[in-house]
Amino acid sequence: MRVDERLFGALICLLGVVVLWHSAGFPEVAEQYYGPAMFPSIIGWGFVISGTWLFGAAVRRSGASRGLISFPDWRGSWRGAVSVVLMLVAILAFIYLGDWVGFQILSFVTLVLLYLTAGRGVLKSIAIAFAVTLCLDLLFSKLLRVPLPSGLLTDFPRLI
Amino acid sequence: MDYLVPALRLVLQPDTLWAVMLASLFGFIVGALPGLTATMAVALLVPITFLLSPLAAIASIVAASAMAIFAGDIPGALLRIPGTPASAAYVEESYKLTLAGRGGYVLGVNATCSMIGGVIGTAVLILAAPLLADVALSFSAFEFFWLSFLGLSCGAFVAGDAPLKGGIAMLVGLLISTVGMEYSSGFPRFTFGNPNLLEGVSFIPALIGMFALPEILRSLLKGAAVISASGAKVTDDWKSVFSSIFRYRRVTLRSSALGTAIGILPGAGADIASWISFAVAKRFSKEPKKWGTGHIEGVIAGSSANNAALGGAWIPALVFAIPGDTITAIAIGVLYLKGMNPGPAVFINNADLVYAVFLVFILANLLLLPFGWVAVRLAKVVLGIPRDILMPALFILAIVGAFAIDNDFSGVWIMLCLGVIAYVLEECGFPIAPIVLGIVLGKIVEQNLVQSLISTQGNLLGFFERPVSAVLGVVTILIWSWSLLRWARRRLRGAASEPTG
Repeated sequence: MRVDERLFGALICLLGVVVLWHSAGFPEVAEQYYGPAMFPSIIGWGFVISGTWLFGAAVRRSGASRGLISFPDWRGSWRGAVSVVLMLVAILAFIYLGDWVGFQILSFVTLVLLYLTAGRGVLKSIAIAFAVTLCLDLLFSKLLRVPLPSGLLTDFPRLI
Repeated sequence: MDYLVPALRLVLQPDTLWAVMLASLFGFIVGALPGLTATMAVALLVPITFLLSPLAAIASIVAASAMAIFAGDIPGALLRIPGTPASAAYVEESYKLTLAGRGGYVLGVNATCSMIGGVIGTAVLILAAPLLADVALSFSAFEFFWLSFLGLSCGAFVAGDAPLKGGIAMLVGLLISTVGMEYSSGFPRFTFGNPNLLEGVSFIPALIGMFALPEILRSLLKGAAVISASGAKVTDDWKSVFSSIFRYRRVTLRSSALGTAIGILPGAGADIASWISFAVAKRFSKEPKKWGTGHIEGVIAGSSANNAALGGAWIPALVFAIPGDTITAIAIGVLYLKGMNPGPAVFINNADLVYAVFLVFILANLLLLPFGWVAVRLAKVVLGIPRDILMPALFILAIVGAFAIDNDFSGVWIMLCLGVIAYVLEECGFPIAPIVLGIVLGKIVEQNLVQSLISTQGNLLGFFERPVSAVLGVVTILIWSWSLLRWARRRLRGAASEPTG
């Protein structure tokens, strides 16, 4: 995904304004000149100046009008596009369903879907996904003792 | 010397030695796969090192980064695709030598020069860091403010070829560093009521997001790429390796010294060290006509410099908590997590650990030679791992790693948000390294700025009253002026060359 520099400059400038506006609401510290708003305000002004600069330079440079947002990576690659959507959905699934469904099931399902999307066969996808999930579970749960949530598998006897 | 025996005892602990071995293997796999950087290897490794002892954790970072930088040479020589950006400078020379049937010779030179460069960088680190720390003990908030500001300026202006974009990236990093409770008043800034953000944006998930996620995303978008190195012939030729390095010993030493010096500069790491050393070696070569035809001199220069830069980057990281490159930025985060707070006092409070880290550096670099020998034999196996099998596995590793830092899914949120931001920024030509510098240095800059302003009652001239502070301040101002002048000159030249009619 590529964003045109004119739009990017304008967005950076807007971010600066938002930072300045938000920081203006920070309290002042009694008997102290420099409160919590000072540093974010400097950053905010930095965004406003550099965003305006980027916008101005892009406007001067740009000849024929182009799209403000383009997706050069996505052309002709439905597998890639589906994989990326799957990735984003998987991350959200881990965040919202992680505790309930559990790491092992989510990891296995995500891997199977990603391998299938990449064009691997069903059996091969299941086998590799199972092996990878098992290795990561062993590494983090057993060796490093990270309490990965097991969710639905909590009450099932562990494989290992 | 008093610390050497306890330090050696720490290094010889089985967990440290295992960490070095396994991290080297991991660094080798990630480094040898084209497109995956040494920084990505380290970022993904951190959650795994999280529960290790402080020394084993640092040892694994040192070993993985040194090995990944060397391993990046392997696909460069065999496939003409640099494994990491640090190997890009001399890939043409390496590949042409491989085509001439000298693949084993090139990889032998890569491994040996990586070891020599790494050991020289470490020697400078061991000698310079404690001396600098002695001087730095007398530093006040003014000096630390200028040092950290200098680090930010170098990262944004010196290292990149697009200072405006570098500057914006740095501001993004600084903004991220302000999230959480302000250090003097405790007022929560930019947390939007989320208690997970009170302590700030968790650093390791942020790094995993910025360095691993965009790479995985790009790789999946491009689809499967199975790389085959079947055409390349790899046979040992160690006699020629050592005779070539002896013949070009001055190039080896000069490039190692140059690499170390470049590594010390904040923001300029192994990649830039390799390019500059390659260019310098070419400029002073006695055989200029051989360059571009598969000449080993360039390979020697680049391989020595990129590993030397790794040691150099640790000098500002250990002494001032200012990272020399993205790998040391991660290492600083780990040092804080492990209670080994970097800064001049680390040489007093944790002297035995610091000297153990030095020993680990030497060990990791010396191991490059035998590991390199094995690695050359494993090269074809690793290069044959299909990308579409590996990337989803690394994706799950990234999620679990982001979770494991705080045992909380808020880390995964941070990874996702910063991964998406980094991906979009990179696609638009913004560098990522200044963001990391901004996150690491933001708090240091702010705290020292506020302390200095309070002590001078807002008088900015007070920032130039102490001699070291004045020198650092002038250097920082010169860097800014030089960058602005260069930009203005380019603008004027551009305006002059435009057709007027």
